[in-house]
Amino acid sequence: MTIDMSQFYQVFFEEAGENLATMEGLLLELDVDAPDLETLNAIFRAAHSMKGGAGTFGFNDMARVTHVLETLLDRLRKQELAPTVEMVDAFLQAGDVLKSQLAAHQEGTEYEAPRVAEVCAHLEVLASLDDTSGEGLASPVRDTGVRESLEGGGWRIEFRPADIGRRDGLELQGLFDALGELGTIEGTVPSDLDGAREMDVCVWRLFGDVGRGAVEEIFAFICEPNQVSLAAIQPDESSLSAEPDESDDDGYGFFMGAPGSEFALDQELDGFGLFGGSPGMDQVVELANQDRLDRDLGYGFFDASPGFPEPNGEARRESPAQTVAAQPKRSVDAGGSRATAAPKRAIAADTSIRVSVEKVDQLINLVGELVITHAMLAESATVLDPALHERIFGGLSNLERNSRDLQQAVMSIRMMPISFVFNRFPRVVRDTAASLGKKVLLRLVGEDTELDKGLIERMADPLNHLVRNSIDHGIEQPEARRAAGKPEQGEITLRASHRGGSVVVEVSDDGAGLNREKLLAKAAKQGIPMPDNPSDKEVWALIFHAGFSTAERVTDISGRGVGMDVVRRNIEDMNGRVEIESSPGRGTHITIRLPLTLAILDGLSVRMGEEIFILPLTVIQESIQPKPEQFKSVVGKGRVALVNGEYLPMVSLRDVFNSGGPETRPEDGILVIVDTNEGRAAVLVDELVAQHQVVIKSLETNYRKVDGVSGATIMGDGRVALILDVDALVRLNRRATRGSVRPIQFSVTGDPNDE
Amino acid sequence: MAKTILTVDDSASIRQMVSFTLKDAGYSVSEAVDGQDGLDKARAGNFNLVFTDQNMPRMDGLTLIKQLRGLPQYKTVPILMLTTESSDGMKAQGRAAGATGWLVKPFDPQKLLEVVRKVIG
Repeated sequence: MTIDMSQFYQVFFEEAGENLATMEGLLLELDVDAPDLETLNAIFRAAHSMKGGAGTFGFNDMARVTHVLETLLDRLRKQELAPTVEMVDAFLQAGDVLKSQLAAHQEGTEYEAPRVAEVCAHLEVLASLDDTSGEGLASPVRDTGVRESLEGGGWRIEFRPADIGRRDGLELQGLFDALGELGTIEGTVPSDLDGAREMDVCVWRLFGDVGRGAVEEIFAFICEPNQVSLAAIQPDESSLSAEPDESDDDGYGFFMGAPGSEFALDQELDGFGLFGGSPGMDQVVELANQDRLDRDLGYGFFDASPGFPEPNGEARRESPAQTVAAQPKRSVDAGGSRATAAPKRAIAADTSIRVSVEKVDQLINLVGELVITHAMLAESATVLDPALHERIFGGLSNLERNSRDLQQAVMSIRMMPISFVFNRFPRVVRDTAASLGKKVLLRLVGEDTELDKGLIERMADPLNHLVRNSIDHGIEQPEARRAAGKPEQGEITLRASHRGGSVVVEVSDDGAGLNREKLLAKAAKQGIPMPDNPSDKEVWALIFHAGFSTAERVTDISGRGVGMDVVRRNIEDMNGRVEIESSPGRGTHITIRLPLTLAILDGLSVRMGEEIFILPLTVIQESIQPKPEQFKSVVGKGRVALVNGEYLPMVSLRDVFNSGGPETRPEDGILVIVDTNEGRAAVLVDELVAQHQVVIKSLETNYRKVDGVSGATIMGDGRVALILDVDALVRLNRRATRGSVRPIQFSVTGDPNDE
Repeated sequence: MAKTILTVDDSASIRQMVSFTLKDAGYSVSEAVDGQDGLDKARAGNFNLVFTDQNMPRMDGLTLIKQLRGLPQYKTVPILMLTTESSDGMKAQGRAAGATGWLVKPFDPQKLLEVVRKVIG
């Protein structure tokens, strides 16, 4: 009977993936200076489990790597070696190799890279570090050539007489004697091998200071190197085998065929063995006797003498049912024991289902349509008298509440805890800090905070960049930190939380902070225009300029300043915003604000001329009715509005979108103060209309990308309203003010009272 | 009545393989995820053979074997330990704990069946 092993691969892949993740997590949490034995054991178990699976399912490349990994881990958990940072690094690298190998196997290929051998060699070196003391390896590393001979130890020689064509006892005796000349040899030479099966194995032990080469040389005359297996025996093992209770172990490698001998003697076969005299052996003996009886009946006369390999009847092997029937022993309710396992699996399967993201998105889309339909109904109902149509209004408010609940429920399907992104950072921080020679502690706060799956995936790159930047440019070298009176170990905190309708993700470090002078000097050098006395916020915002890097030394960690601008763009693409705070010597704090979802937003509808626009509520700080003296024109900055003692760039929607229409005086409109990535700005509109929940429809997929607009929505009256992107609006406005493309209306609408 | 076997291993893939192979050969198989689970399941049913891994969370294989030998119904039931450590030291510990024999990991389904048939038929 052959069993298709590939049917178990998927389980193995999942399990190995889990084991790798567990191992990495535990390694990162391992305190090298005060290692926790339970952690070491757990890491060992993960590697050990992978090795067992990989070997069983034939993924030999993974088995090899896990073997060397396990060897070193075994020494650590037995406290023969103390863990070092170098070891942890090597383990993590081995984990990476295993991940690649696993991924390759999942694709049906094999991962081949010089890295595999390098990592294994490194681990082997680490595992044999104190070997110079003359002590043997705790666990033999096979076929690596690390150690060619073992003082006080020896070799376990295992081969199949059938393989090497030495079935004759006399010839084996010759081989045995030849090996005996090298040292002390233990083992049995069967006198007659006629009854030997193909599977039977000869196991000899050769003790003494014998080189592998010497043993191999002797076998070289009679067989291929791969037909004989040599394994090092460590000194304590050799002494163990000399203990009195093991003295009758002459039978290693062969069955003593005499009736009852199975009970008393150890049986060592190819890959498994039975302990003589152990509990449970009487059953085996009974079976063997039965077997012998059966065979005697079947074949007539067969006298098995001691020293004979156990002829395990082939006929019996093919008909297990018969032998089962021949041994009516314990009555165990087999059905019952199986039934106990089955319901458990059924429960696990019932509690969750896998649904494709498209289906969920479709659901969200439908909810969006429902929200729009409700808005339309509510709009139509405005002409009705609430007192006369009480039931319609009651129904409408129920509909609103229900669709809001439905929307929240559907949204929650797409929500995932941010730990999916955060979890990669312990490793990132560790590796980055190690390569820079810095000491960094990572704190994760609020990992359970949930946000949209789509956002989570898109957060990974920007966060990665920010964290690496913090380690590279923020956290100082240990000496510098000590000199500054700070602990040597820097700290980076990743924090996620829900605030209002948005998710806030913060990256903060306790490093050197941003250097105002350096940033300004760099800006001057690169020709980036800056106001005379820029605010800190304006200076910090410089790092988001394309091609801006203040590091004197370009490293491979955070690159050449391409990045921070990409980070900001990525975040803006998610309708999010990023803010920097920094104080010299105290560190830098970066705050990212994201909407909970990309599908629906709370917005304020504003009117400009005939058009309705939507401003996301999250960006709005306040709105004011301006007075004429609040408006000014500043060279190079266009029009500004003086709000609470601060001059804010003013964006007129009419100008930006060239919507024309009759000119109105600014003081007749409303100023909406919004928060942008470049600080606050004032948006001039004609009228505030209402607050809505709007369903975001992509303009890009339905039309094309329009600057200053992040999407569109359908209003209750069926009209399309554009959703404003205030960051882009401010940029657009600045370009229009500075550049030659400035719309003509702009200069005309300048306040005549000014200048 | 099919013979019953309990396989104790923290690796789901190995459990699945052992289970499938033995069920395919007509045995009735129960699975346990670690030593403690194995002990609980063994107490609840009278198995004809127990296979146990050595390295497992909560309770390792050697402890499980010792505990099982302390139960009246498992005094003489064959218990085999699965081990990737083929060292004599491990075997000596297994013997001392009361194991009936050992099977070296990795093993293939044929090898598994060979051992099981040898031990319980």
